[in-house]
Amino acid sequence: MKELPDETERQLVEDELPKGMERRLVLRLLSHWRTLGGERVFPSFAELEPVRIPDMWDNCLVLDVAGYQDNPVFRSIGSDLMAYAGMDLVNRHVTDAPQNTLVAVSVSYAAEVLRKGVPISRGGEFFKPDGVRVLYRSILLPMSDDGKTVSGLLGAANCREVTDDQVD
Amino acid sequence: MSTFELQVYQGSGWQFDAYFDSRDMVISEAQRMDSAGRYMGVRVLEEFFNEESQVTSYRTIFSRLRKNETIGAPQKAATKSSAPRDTARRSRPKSKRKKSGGNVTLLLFAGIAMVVIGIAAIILLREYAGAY
Repeated sequence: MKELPDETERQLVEDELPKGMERRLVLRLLSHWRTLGGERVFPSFAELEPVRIPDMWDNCLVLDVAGYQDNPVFRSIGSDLMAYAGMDLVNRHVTDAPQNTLVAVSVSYAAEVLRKGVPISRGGEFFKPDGVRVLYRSILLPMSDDGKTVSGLLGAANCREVTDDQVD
Repeated sequence: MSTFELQVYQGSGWQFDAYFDSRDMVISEAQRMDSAGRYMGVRVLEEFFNEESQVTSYRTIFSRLRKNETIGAPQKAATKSSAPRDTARRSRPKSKRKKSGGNVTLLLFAGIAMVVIGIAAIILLREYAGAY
């Protein structure tokens, strides 16, 4: 039997999520961000509880921008994202993230989010050092501890490696 | 390459809500927000940059507004492209009313014609029966 790992993984994801639930990580996190914020423009990190988003937290990251506007600092990185980084980036700057990794591409537009003050979602592709093509989708969401100034960014990203037999 | 601006309409006008580079995603989110009913309006503007002319253009690819809401026009460049569509949407109810008035008149004439034909048929039949 021909091995179809991607299809198998997708089927497992569908089984894990309740029926009718949005499957796309980016939109699920955006929905959660809106729920946290309520009537406010920005939600607060104080209200962010990883235990409430167990299906997403491993793909999430938190950037601290207070005092680090030009080069935010990673304060938290989910285990799935960390695996793609290949190094521990907690308390390290965005510019320390290795190039051509999921973490690096998913925070590459942080400055734009800070400038516009609204969620931004980006997707695209990059190539790993071994030449494997990776398709990714990410989102960065502004957070505020005082309700007015963006103090950090909540982000999420996932990806899929495109193997030779999947190329058209 | 296009980017997509998700905007929401509140009391003061249209406001930026989020940016996407995926049409499917932004439309999904816009539809979800419209269904949630939290905002008076939701729309998506597609922004595309022409490399040759160095001009950025906008067009509305999704727009939902609660009935009886009037729109401010803070995004004049964007609303220019959507004005004809909005105007067309508002004019449709008027044309529907005219059509229904015409239908009633037509039915009335049809009814009168049937009565007249029926009476004429009865008279003819009586004369025909009288002849025999």
